[in-house]
Amino acid sequence: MAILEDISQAVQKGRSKEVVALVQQAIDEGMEAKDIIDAGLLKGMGELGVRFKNNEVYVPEVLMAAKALGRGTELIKGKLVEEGVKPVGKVVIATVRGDLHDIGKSLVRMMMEGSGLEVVDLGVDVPEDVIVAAVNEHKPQILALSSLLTTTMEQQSVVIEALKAAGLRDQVKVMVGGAPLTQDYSDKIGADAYAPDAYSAAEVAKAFVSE
Amino acid sequence: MSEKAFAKAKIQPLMRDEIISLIEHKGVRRPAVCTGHWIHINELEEWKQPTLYKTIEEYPEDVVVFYLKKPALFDDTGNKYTWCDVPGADPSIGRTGSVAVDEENDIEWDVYDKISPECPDINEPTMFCNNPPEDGRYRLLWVSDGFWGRLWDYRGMTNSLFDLYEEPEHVHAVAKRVLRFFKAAIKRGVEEANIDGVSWGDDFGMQRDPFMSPEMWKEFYYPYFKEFCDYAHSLGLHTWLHCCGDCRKLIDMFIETGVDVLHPVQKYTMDEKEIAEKYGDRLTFWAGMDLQRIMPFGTVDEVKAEVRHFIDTFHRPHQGGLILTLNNRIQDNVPLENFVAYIEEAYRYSEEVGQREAKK
Repeated sequence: MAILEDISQAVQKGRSKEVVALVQQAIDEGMEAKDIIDAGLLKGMGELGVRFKNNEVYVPEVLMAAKALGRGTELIKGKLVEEGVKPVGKVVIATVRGDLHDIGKSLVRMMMEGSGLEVVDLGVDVPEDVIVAAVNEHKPQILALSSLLTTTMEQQSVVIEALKAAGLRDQVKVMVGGAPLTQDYSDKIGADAYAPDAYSAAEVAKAFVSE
Repeated sequence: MSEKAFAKAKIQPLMRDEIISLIEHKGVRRPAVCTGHWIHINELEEWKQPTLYKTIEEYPEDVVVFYLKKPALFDDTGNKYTWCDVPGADPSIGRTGSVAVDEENDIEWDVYDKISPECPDINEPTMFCNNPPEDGRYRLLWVSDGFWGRLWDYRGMTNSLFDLYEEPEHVHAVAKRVLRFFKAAIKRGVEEANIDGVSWGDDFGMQRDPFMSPEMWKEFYYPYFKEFCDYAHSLGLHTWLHCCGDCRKLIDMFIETGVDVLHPVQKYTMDEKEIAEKYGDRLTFWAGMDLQRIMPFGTVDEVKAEVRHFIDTFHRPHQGGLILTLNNRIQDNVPLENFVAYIEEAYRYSEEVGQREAKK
């Protein structure tokens, strides 16, 4: 359908108004919300994500696309519920205690949402007990932890230990990321996955929920 | 530093003309070392401070770095030495909890539009209150956040990135405000503080790639970098840029606009050997020891090996091109012995390299 490709292209160009108009047009033409989101909105974000991973586009383009995706999704939210369309999985994401950096986490959130995942964003400087409570409440398949600083990365390990103490560790996959992190560090603290960039994080998360 | 202090030091620092020669690749007696403002000893754990002060005293910096008095981010008391004099604009007023770095200071553009055009006041009498005594060494003025960094300060990072698309005129307006202030500051710096170089921070790089495309950088930042560097050069100053992260796609333009010295060539975001080989004939590096892995988590021997690696990588024999430092502000998670090892090995090995070259 040409209009779905148009929606995908408009998302990639970050044109929110155009996305809204096209999504409305697609609704008016009687298309199913699932098709609009899968073959239009998420397809566009997915293709942009690949270009971002390949260093062909940059953060401002991703932000503009995520904004357009959000506007389009907002418009069909009600229809998605009516049709019984559910997210492909759920993620709780947070920047750990002591760390106020959020751009990396936000990029991961956007990429995950652009992959059809529901993301509960707890924000920054989140203590381990709050994260554990959120895992208990939201029952996500994935917990994603971010830290930018060498002085806060150890807090990711504290969260994992807190999950164990609460008896929740085997109920959730733990992903870690952030500038100073490495695969070795991820292995050392017992995380399930490390992702070096936002697109890879979304790919890993999708793989986890499809297991 | 006094003559007495120089006499007591374990090593004689490079003097002004030597650093100028090093930056201009005209030769130097050894690679330079300058930790500069990447360490704030008084902010580190108290028990470490005596050793740190002693180490710096024994191994005096080759470049004297000092701060321009920072204009306040917000000041609505009538003082114009501020980046924002709009009453009640400070978003931290009444804030109780912590917020993301993005939200710390962000203001809306309608608030920005109310800021007085004369802010920050370029005639502020105390602008050079941190001016250290003249002792013959090269003097570098740090003027803090630059054209892009200041946009973050006003708007937060996420908003700034949106603004590049949605508020281009405002992005230019912020850069023009910074340019006006920086130009006035360095003119006064020459007259009142005898500065030799100016340094500012604009973090364009991420772990991989710049935040924005090279085309976008050219549109928004090239003109201001060019005008500022040209002006600094006309005053006889060198321009030192701090830019964290992977900025490979921008370095050619940094050089074109007139950047003379680049800090820090952040390890693990760029390959230091590749950068040194590709740009070493046109740039001098204020190359920074890694604070993400080696300095905090490495052994003393690993720190020393890294010092030698940096000197071997960036120093150009019989030319110069290297001032060794840290890649950002040192934190308390760096063991004291690692910092001392970095300093001792930096001077020891730079002397060794200098002596080796002198024999040839």
